[in-house]
Amino acid sequence: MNKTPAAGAPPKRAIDIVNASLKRRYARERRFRFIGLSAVILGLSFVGLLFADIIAKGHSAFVQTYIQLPVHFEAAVLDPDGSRNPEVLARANYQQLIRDALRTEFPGVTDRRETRTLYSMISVGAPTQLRDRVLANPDLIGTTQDVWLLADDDIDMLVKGHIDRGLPENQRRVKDQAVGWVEQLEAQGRIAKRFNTIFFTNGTSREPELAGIAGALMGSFYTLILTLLFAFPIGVGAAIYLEEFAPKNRWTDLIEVNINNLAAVPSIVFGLLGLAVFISVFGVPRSTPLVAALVLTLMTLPTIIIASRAALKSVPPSIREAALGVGASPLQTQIHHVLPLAMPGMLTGTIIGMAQALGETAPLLMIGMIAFIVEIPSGFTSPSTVLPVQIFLWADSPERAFVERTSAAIMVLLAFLILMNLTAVLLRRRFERRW
Amino acid sequence: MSTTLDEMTVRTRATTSAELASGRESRETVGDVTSANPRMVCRHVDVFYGSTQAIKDVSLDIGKNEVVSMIGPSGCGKSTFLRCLNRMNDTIDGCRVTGSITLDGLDIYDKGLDPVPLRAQVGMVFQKPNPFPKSIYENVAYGPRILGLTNSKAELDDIIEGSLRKAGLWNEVKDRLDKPGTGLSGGQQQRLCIARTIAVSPEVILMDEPCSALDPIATAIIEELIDELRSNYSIAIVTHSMQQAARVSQRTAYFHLGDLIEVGETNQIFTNPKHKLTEDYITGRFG
Amino acid sequence: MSSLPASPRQDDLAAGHTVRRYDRELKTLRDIILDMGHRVIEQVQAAVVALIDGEEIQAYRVLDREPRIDYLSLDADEEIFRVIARRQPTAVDLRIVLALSRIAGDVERAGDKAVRIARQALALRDQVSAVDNLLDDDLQSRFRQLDHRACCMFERSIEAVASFDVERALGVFEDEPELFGTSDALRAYLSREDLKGFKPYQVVCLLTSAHAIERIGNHASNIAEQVIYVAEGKDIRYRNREILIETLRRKASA
Repeated sequence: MNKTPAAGAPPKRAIDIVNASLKRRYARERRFRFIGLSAVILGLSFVGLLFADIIAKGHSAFVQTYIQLPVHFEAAVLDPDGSRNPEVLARANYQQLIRDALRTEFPGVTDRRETRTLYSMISVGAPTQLRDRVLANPDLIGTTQDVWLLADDDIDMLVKGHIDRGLPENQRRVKDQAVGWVEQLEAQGRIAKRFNTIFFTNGTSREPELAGIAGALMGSFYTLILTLLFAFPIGVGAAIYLEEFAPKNRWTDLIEVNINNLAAVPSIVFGLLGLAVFISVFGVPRSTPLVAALVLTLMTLPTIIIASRAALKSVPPSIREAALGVGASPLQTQIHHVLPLAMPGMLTGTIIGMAQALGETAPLLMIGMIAFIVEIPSGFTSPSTVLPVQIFLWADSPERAFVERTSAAIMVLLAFLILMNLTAVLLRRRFERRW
Repeated sequence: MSTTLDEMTVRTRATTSAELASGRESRETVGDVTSANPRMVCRHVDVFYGSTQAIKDVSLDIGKNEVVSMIGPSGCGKSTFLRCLNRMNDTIDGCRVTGSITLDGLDIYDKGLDPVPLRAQVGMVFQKPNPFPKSIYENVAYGPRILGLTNSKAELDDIIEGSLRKAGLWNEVKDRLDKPGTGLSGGQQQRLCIARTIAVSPEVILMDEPCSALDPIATAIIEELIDELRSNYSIAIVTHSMQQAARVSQRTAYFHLGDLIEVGETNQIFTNPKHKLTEDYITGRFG
Repeated sequence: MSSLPASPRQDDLAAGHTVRRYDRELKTLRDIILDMGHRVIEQVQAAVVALIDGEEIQAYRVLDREPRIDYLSLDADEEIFRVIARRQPTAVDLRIVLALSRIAGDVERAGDKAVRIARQALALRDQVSAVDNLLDDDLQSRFRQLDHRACCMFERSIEAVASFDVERALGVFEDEPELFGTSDALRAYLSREDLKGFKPYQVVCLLTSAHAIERIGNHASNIAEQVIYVAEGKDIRYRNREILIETLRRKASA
């Protein structure tokens, strides 16, 4: 107080007291806002850092190094009897062609060790590449073609600059000699980086340059489809029953508490449950989308039920009364009026549950999804793995080339998650009604 | 809201136990509860929510071509009673109704009676206008459609036009039947709800404070409508506005803490009520 | 006194509203009418003194004070309009307002009667100089008796209005036969052929005064009827008084 009131002065008005404390109150408010804002910025910057790191590491996985070599499709090797029989062509020794091409390209290499180094520049997947070409076009036999052949992962790393050429030879995976060859080829313009279709079309592989996420993606796809088919009807049905029809008593209270608790159970417990019940008792084939979907259904059900109940609760009771009042039966009331209004909320909950299921790893490890499966799954009961488990597996692999593939797979997974969450947001926007 | 309701119930119980101690279970209704030409007859109706009694031994007739208004302070049970008349209370857990309520001589709480068609016979208009979030046409068409009242589109169209005309809404909405019902003004929405109710040809229409969310002009239009509807339907209306009860009804029932205190001709209730509680309430001496 | 012995009325019928301002408005209205009533009683007494004792000054005072009562009756009307417009009274409140409106009319007309008596008192002695006791003792006592009956009734009716008291209102009805008896006797006395000492115009003055005094009693009855209308909710005008009194008494004692 800057002025001391004189004796007998009129009593202080309330507004003066308010004004005196106003400054302090505003300061407190500003402090709070600042703290909140910095918390948000901190969080966002961590997310940004994570994304930047992943993208920095992973973006190079979307291109792949190819080496151009003139390959002579030697008829004597491929089709000795000249029958053009596809079975014969399929079993022919294409590796021979590549080795011949390499030797012709680098005629000075004769030493056995050097030869092996030379051969290892080209991926073990290259023969398959040639075979497919020949099978598609048998006329190639007997001709010489310039073919872009898949480079080995080490060469790929070298070309992409992940292996430092300045290091002493014994500290890097690529020999000086090979570096020399690469530089020679680069000078001739025979090394190029092309879009990595293999990454999207192949299953996993021990060889990084042949490893792709198609198997895991398909596995995730089948799993999610099944999870959706199981979890959505069960979840929505349970929510409608509990919210609209079930009597409110101690039993339904208990069920409600348990559903809420279930949502908080560590997901690996569901995996153990799946292993113990679905695989051991019911004999569901392990490591399949079917069993994964069953486990993930259990895991996402609480989320869907809770979200659906919230959506049902938010439908004003006046709508139910209106429908009942004109003579609709309780089920008609639900289906004709309540459900359409609650659907966006239910779908949002379901999509969030699905996103959760898409990103889940732990329970799937328990039911054998961790198996090394090269084949792209063809159905709900074929052995498969899923994207997050694939990421987990690749992250464990020692090869340098798997690092960037891991990051790339994470990028794909994140893209799907963001897409799903975006759908949820859009659905809510689109169907949000005011009444 | 719920806390005040609870307090109300607690107070009800206290009064009841005091009355039990004095040997009186419920108050006698003053006035004639019967109607010359009854459509719905309620006798000794008790309603319990769990262990609390919301309605105590209420008997009341609702006559043909008559508007019966129910007034009383909040929590007096008038809405509860209204909701008994089309078994809307069935949807509330732990709600129990005893006594007899008949519609044209048929006990509506009979075990064999299905409440779903009953609610079409005894329609209801609610406090807040609650059109379905659909088009105006669909709002009115919903009832006849699910009840299978029509065989053809033309018939349905006739019902819709007729209902909207009776509700005094036709001229305002005939050019925009496909527009959402929620886009209408409050008073129009309420008339749409009335149209929706009369589209299923009810015999009795229950109105639960139909004008409490409306401005005076919309209220006047609804009141005029109620007066017109009287020639075809029996109407029971719960209202907080005593003036409204005085204006629209032929008979008035005053509820107080679950008791039906007094029933009588509206003229008599508003000029010379017999019971002190009624008089105190309508002259603004309550509490 | 109430129809509901189980719930005895509190002190005042017009009080007890949740909106206390409403109570005050009704009280203001009733106070105006009570004020009028008391003024009218004074007026009547003064006029009768002027008539009997020939005190002219009292007669002039009555004439002077008359407009004040008229103004009060205008005030009462205004207050009644206001209450109806703003409060939309129902039930007992509606009856109170309606009854007070009628009572105001009756009180105002009773005031007019006082003026009429005062005028007659002046006219009676207009052409007669220095007559102190124009009226002989017999006539004086007859007039006093009539005045006493009428004023008693009027006073009692105003008291009844103060608390809407059925008991007092019934008392007013019970006095009626005596009032009519006294009045008839006085009229008969004045119309005697052997009446001495009065010129015809003086007889007319006396008859008119007697009639006016009787009318004050009638106004008192009307007021009492309105009090019963308020308290009982029944309009009892034009009913058989004896049966009415009996029913109401029986009800009150029950």
